[in-house]
Formats: sequence, structure tokens, C-alpha cells
Amino acid sequence: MSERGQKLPSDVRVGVYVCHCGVNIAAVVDVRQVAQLARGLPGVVVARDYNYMCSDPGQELIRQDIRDYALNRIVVASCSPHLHEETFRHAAAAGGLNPYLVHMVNIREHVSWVHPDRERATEKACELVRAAVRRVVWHEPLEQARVSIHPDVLVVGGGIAGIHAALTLANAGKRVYLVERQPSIGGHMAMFDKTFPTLDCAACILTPKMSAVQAHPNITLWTLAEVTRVEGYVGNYEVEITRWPRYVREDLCSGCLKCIEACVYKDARFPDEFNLGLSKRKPIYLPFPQAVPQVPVIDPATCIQFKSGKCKKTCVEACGERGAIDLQAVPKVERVRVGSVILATGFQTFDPRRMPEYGYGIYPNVYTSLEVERLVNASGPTGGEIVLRDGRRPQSVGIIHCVGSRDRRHNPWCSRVCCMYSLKLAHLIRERTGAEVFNFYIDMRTPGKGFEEFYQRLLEEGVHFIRGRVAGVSDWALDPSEEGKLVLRVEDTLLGIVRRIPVDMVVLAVGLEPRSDAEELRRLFRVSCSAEGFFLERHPKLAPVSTFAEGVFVAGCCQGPKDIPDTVAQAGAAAAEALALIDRGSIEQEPNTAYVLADHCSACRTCVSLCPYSAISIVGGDGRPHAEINPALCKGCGTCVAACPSGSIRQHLFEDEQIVAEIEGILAGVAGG
Amino acid sequence: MALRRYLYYPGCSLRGTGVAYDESLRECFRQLGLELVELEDWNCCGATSYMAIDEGAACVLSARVLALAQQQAPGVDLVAPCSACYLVLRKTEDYISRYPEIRSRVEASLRKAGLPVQIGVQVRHPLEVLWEDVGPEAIRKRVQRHWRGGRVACYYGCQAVRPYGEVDRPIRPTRLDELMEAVNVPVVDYSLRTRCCGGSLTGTIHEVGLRLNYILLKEAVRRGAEAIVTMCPLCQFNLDVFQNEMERQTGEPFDLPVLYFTQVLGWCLGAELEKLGLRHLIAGRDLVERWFVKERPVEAYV
Amino acid sequence: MDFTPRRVIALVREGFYRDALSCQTIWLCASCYACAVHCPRGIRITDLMYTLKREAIRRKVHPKGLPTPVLAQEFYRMVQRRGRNSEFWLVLRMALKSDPWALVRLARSGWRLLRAGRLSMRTEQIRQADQLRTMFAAAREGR
Repeated sequence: MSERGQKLPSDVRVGVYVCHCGVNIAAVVDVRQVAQLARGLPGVVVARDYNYMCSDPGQELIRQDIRDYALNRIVVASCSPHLHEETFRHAAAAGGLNPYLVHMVNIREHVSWVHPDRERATEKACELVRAAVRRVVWHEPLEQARVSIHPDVLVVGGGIAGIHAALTLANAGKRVYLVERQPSIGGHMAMFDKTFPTLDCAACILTPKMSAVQAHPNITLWTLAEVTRVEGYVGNYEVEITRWPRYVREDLCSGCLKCIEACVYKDARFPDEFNLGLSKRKPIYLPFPQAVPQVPVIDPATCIQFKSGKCKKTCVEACGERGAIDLQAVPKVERVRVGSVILATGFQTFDPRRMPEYGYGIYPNVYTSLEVERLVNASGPTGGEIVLRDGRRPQSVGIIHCVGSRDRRHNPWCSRVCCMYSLKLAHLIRERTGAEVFNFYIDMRTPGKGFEEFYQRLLEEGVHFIRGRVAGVSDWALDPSEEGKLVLRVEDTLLGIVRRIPVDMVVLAVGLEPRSDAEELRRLFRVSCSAEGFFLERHPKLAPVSTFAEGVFVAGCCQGPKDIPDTVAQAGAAAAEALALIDRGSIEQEPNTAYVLADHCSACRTCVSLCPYSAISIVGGDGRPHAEINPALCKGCGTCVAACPSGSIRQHLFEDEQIVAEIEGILAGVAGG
Repeated sequence: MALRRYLYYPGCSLRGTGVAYDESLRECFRQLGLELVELEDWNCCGATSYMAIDEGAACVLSARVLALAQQQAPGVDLVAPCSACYLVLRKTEDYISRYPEIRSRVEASLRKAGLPVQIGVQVRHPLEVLWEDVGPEAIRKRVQRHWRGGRVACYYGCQAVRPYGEVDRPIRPTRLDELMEAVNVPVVDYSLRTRCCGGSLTGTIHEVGLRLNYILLKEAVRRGAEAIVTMCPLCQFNLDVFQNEMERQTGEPFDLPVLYFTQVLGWCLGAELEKLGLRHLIAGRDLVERWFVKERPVEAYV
Repeated sequence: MDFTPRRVIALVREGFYRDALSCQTIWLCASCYACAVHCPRGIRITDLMYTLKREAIRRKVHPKGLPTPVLAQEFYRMVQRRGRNSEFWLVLRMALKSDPWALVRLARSGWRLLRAGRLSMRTEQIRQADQLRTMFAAAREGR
């Protein structure tokens, strides 16, 4: 059976190396006995055991034996191929052998670390080695393919992460396409007034970078744009970007804003998105004063011309000869070729309507923290004055931490920034209104440079800190002092009592969560998401900005909640990874790819839809159609190989002969020889 | 409308202090073409007290009720108007599916009694039945009488909406308010709608129970409600019976009718006045007379 | 409430069972399940209170003079015997066993209920009380 009707390749000369790994293997497995068994196997010319095969002398053994014994197959029985497959392939190559004629057996993680019984562990090691020798016989020399890396980079998302990554790359001389969905770049950071813990003005540090993006010759900025299609593979992505019309031409507009003034709506009447509905805008508007690009945008949902076609078009009139307003504009599709991608699409805040106990959307004086960021902002709806919706200045304010976070009913994770931004808001509110401010927290989390010191400062400023999770917010008054107030009910766990605290204003420190459309983007770029929906990094410690899609990197809160310093650091790291890839010029690809036996393929298309990397297409339409696999896209997952009904897809390093021989090797041991 | 049939499990309270709920529920359902067939030889659900003594025995009690329903009318939903009964029956189903140990004990007892072991009974609260099976729109269309009373505070109590959230959402429920609005009864925004009435605490640790009900009544009055609408016999009892005593202790006068939602709905749907159990109400008799009694000309109150 | 529920849970977690079981708090729980639907950790606090009540009665460490455990036990006995609860007799028995003075207060509300036709002195009983007893016995064995 082992021959399966085929002849064993002739003149096979196998060398087997059994590693002690110090005592890691040798303490449990009788390595001498394993080597001795190997010597008796068909095709084996030499078999040795050695203390550390991965050491220089260990590798030298392999190199020397290849020369001395004219070996043409190598089996190393040691640790996991994850750790040292590369090492032994290099050693073989240095000895003049094709590296894919090497096979590894894991007798450490699979044997010595999991089996206590020496005799039976040795037996298992012997069987694995026997199977490996039978398998390696069928190995064939393989060549690595090289793909070149296109030097341009796509950055998706124009918040602080995308801005920083784009600038880093552009300053290194690379061409960058920065795609932003909103009419301006700046992201959430542009909405903030101050940043913690230093209290420096967010706009003062962000807007120079926004202008730099606009002015940089190496950056192509597309706002009101979305990635709608991605094809290709690392080094050679083809990306389609849809640019939604702004109805004001960026190339012609001077930013004089006369059109906004001239709009037939004399008063702003529509909720302003950037101010979260706390102020009003006209149908033609500038998102915020420092917006980049500094070009107004027309909202077709509210503009009379778009709704009825019967507007006097005073905006067009005001623009005059410049003719920047283009009411006929249509969506435009851009196609670009890039070698790498940085995803920096950010986060969304938790919608507190999901927790009706906190009264958001029920009581007007319950705000989200993001709304309060706008309220305290000098360019915000109240010019930085902290006033309630009825114009009153609050005399007492309650800030509820962990809204939507650390809650099994909603988001189980800690959003990392809420403690600190709550402290910041507490400070600003107290400073500007003199109000009594109460922070209701579960745990204070201040792990950052200067964070704990800032907490200490707030304690000294007289802000109240009540350790307890607020049960509910209501306007139920128990006595006259609570009349007209919002009452927070909370167990003060330090006092051990339940308290009712009446306040004028409630701030909900809403947590950070993945954007609701993160899943679509994940599919588009073929990256992975963690269970909670954030983009998954390749390794949480050692590859924090890489993804499972090669050439696609992540930065900022789309990967998980983080503050501005961490976001900028991660964006820099993502840019550096992209630069390293570009400067290499090309990368090698593992040859463990699948391939199609065209003569056997019936073009049934089963594989096409199954391939997670869209690597398979049907070719030869008019003659004999059959599937074809693009080796540059194939990741060697084997899905198509297993699914092909006619067995006409095979895979390098996982050939039928190799796998069957390996299985037979194991079974030979079970059968007793 | 096609006649729908339900099994009816009144529970102990509706035989005694909650008799008005029993009468008005039957009448209200009759008005809507819903038939209630009382479960034969039903026993106590076990309620909260039983759980405190023997969890297994509590499950056996409600399992018998469920098995009787399965035996007497398989596939027919079981309506439990008392919030405690509703919760305990629902909870028993949950426990049987969640804990194998309880399941084996319950099944052993059912087998011994010759009752069906496989139970697939849907336990439902009348509010849920009216909302899901009839719907506020259909109810709106069947209004026969124009409400001439004042504004009401809808009080959901606790166990019907918690913890399973099937009758309505557990936090800030709205269905009772919406049903009242459907029959043109004005409601106030009552933020204590699910705050506990204390249950049996009025009978055991009286001062604590009384305080809880005082808070509920006081807030309803502050909100401008002239009556409270309830959906549980224990809530109704607690809010209704002790108003005199509260007035004596606090000096604040309370005389609010505490109605069952089925009384209000039934009246609006044109029920016979005598069948709504209005005579069993204790507090706010004057208002009840003025709002409900037939002879008065409608115009005077609209 | 002598301990907050958080403290009761903390006592149990750290093994101070006697303190946890003899506290008043667990007997003030009216099973409204507000805690269960609010708990961000998904703890079924009401069920935990039931467990503590059962254990307190089993170990006989529940606070003396508190009518709640008496009510629970009387309720249990009555339903065990007759399958149904008769409100009037239950309250009467509880008062006699815990605080006879409460009868003065109870008489007042009792009178109001009687006038409103809501007080029944009938003893409620199911037809097949023996079937129920069989079931309790079988359940105990089936453990």
C-alpha cells in the first residue's frame, strides 16, 4: 500500500537528527533509542542525537553530513516548526540542499512536555520519526516566489492616527492616499477642547498637522470618500475609492464662506453633526472652523434645491465667477495601486440609550461626555460656556464612569480613556462654573505618564469621588432639596451606604466600541476581528500593528480603545512597518500554495467561493475552463484542496503522497511494525 | 376577531384580596373576544416564600401547575395575572432547562404523579397577551367609552417585567402606558414605575413596607396623577390598603384609587360596570364613583 | 438593612458565612429582581439571597424576632398540606408566632378588606392534595 502504485523515489538518502533540547526532551524521551530506530529505517543513511540541534555546532552537523554522506532529505526531531523550521531550512540550504527537503518532527511540545511516562513517550517519538522519514521521501525541491512591493500607501481614516501615519510616510518620501469619510479630517480629536493630563489645547496640537496633510505634496487627501473595493495582495493592492460629492469644488473654492452667508435659510435650522446636534447649521456649511479642507459642503438631505429643485440658488450667486458650487456633481470613483494599507478607522462611542436607567434621551440634562467635550470647547455650540439646554449654569454635576463599559450586558471591556477624560471634564467644569462635581467610579484607572498625578490634583481641587456604580438617574424627588434636580442613586461603597445625590447635570462617560461597520471593512481588507469587533493584530505583544493580511497594518482605536499618545505611537509604528516593507522592495512567499490540475478540473466553482483570500478564478473561458490559483494570494490554508469534489487541487508540502506516507508511518507503529 | 383560547391560572391572591383583578380580567378578555378557561385543581405557585425554604419543592409546585396545563390543554398558553405566579412559573421552566439536578427531581415527581413530564407550556402575563396577541391598535379601535377620569400613573411593579424581560423591557417599560394611551387615558411620566412595593414586607417588617409604598404614592401625586394603574395583586393591595395609615403617620392626605389595568381597559371597552370589581377598591372611592359610574352624563367630564 | 448586598457577597466570598447568614439584609429582600437586571457582572443576586435564606434557616442562624422567616415557614407548611395558601389564616398564624401585638394593626386593615369583600376566611385546598404530597416525596428521593 505504501507505494500506492508509484515507485518510491530512488537514491533517497535521509539524515535524521534527534535533539535533546538540554533536558527538555532528553529527560523524558530516550533520544538515543530514537536515533537508533531511525538508523534502521529504509532510506536513512545517518541518524544522530545531539544536545542542541539549533546551536551553531548542531546546524554544522547537518551541513557537514550533507556533504559527507550526500544526503538529500533531512528530518529533525526537536521542537515546534514555529520556532526553528527556518533555522534548519537555512542549515540545509547552506549545505547545498533545497530547504524544502527538510521536515521537522515536534517531540517536545507533542511528546516530552505532555507525556510523563518515559517508555511510552519514547515509543511515540519513534513513531513520529518513522512517519516523518516516510513522508520526507516524497518531498520535492520547491522555489520561493518573490513579489515586488509597490511603494505607495493607502491610509484609511483621517483621525489623529491616520494623519500621523500619513505624515510619517509622506515625510519619508512615500506617496500616500488618505481617505476620510467625513467632510473634514481630524476625527474625534478635533472635537475635544483639552487633552489629558497636560490640559494642552487639542486644536493647537492637531490643526498644524491637519494643515500639513493638506499642504504635503506627497499626500493625496480624499474626504467624503470611502473604500468600496479591494483586490490584490501584499505589495500589489488595487483599491477602489468612491468619492461622494461635496457639491463645492475643492479646486475652485477659496474658502471665503460667502455661500453659507448667502444661503436662502437666513438662520441655521438643522442639527449640526460635528456639535452632536447641540447647535444648528445651514444646508451648506463648514463642519468646524479649522476644517481641512476649508471648503463648505452641501447636505442634499436638507438643501431645498435637492429636495424640490426650486431654490433661488443664492449660494451659486454668491460664489459668482469663481463657480465653485457644482450642484450637478456625481459620485466619482478613483482607482489606485498601493503596496500596503494602514487602517485607522477609529471607534464609536457607546449609545447610552441602551441603558435607559441613566435617562439619556429622557431627561434633557443628561449628556454624553462627547457632548460635554463640545460644550467646553471654545469653538463649540456655546462658545465654551458650560450651560444646560435651558441656559442655566449647572451648580452641581455628576459624572458617571464606565457607561457601557465593564458591563456584561453591553461591553465587557474597560475603555481605557474614560477615567482620565472624566477627570479632565471634572476639572474643566469646576474651573469654569465653580460647580460641585461628583465622579462616580467603579475603579480609578490612571496607568499613564502623569495620570495618577492628575488624579491627585483633582482630589485636591475638591472634586468629589464616590466609589460606586450609579444604579439610576431620575427626576423623582423625595424632598424639596431634590425638586427640579436629577437624582443619582448610588451605593457609596467606601461609606457602605446607599446615597441619593441631586445634581443639575449628568455626564455619562460613554465607553469606546468598534464602529458598527467595522465588519464590512474587515471583509474588504480580509483582516480579522477579535470577538468584540476590534481589528485583530497579528500578535498581541510582538506584532501589535500587523494583521493576518500581509501588508495591511492597523493603528489607533480601530484595534482597541486607547488614548492619543498610544494612538500616535501606534500610528508611527504602523508607518514604520509599511516603510520597512517598501524599502525591502520585494518579499518571498512560502511555497506551500495550492495548485490546480487543469486537466481534471471541471470548473464547478466550488473552490472559488470558499477561498477566504479570493485567490481562485476560472480561466480559459472559451476553450476548457478551469480554476486557477494566484500563488501570490494563496495563503496555503488548504480549504480548496479539501473541498474540490474531483480532487484536482493539490498543495505543495501537503501532497497526497506525503500525507498518506506519514499516516502509514504512524499506523505501521500501531500495527507493531 | 377569531376567539382565542387561553388557560387561566388565577393563583391564590386572585381568590382573596385580589378578587377585583380576577373579575375585571375575565370581563376585559371577554370584551376582546379572548376566552379564559380556568386550570382545574391548580395549586399554589410556591411564590417567593417557598423559594426561601426549599428550592426543589418550590419547583415541584410550579411544575405541577405546568404539567396540569400540558395535560388539560396541550399547546394552549397559560395566562398568569399575578406577577409572582408569572415569575415563579417562568423561572421554574428556566431552572428545569438550566439545572439537570432540578430537572431530574422535578421529572421524578411528575412521573410518580402520572403527570406529563415533557412540558411545553408558554406562561404569559395578561399585559403581554394584550400587547402581542391583540395589540394597542386593535384595542384603540374597540374603544366604546370615552375616559372621563383624570391622569393616571402606570405602575408595572417588579416581577412581571424582571428578570426575563418578556412582558416588557425590564428597565423603563412602556407597554402599560401605551395601552392606556390607546384607550385615551392620560398618563403621567412616572419614574418609579418599576420600583418595588415591598411585596410581603408590609405584612412582615411593616414600617419598611409602608415607607416603600409611601414613596410610590407620594411621587405619583407629585407627578399629577389622580390614580395609579397596576398589574399585580400584591402591588394593588399594598398601595390601596394602607393609605389611611400613611395619612395618620405623615399627616399627608392620600386618597388615590389604585386600579387594575384590566378595570380601566374593560371600562373603556364597554364592559358591564358590575363585572369590573370596582366595589372591591378601598382608597379613592369618591373618584371611582365619579369616573366610572354610568349614570353621569359623559359631557360633564370631557 | 444592616449590610449592603455587596458586603453580603464579599462576606460569602471570603468565607465569613456566619456573618452573612445571620444578617437582616437577606430578609429584607422582597425579590423584586432590580439588582439582577442591573448587575454589570450578570450575578443573579435575588437567587443568591434565596440561597442564603435557605441556608440561614437550615443552620438556624436567622435573626430571631423577624417575622419574615416565620412567614416563609408558615407559608411552606400550609402549602405543603393543602396545596394552596389562604391569606387570612397565613397572616394570622404569622402574627401569633412572631408579634401578637401586630394583630391590633392588622385588625384595622382586615376590617377594611372585609367591607370591600376581599377577605375570605375559607380554607383553600386542592382536590388532589395527596398527589402533591406524593410529588414532594418523589422529588426528595429523586435528588
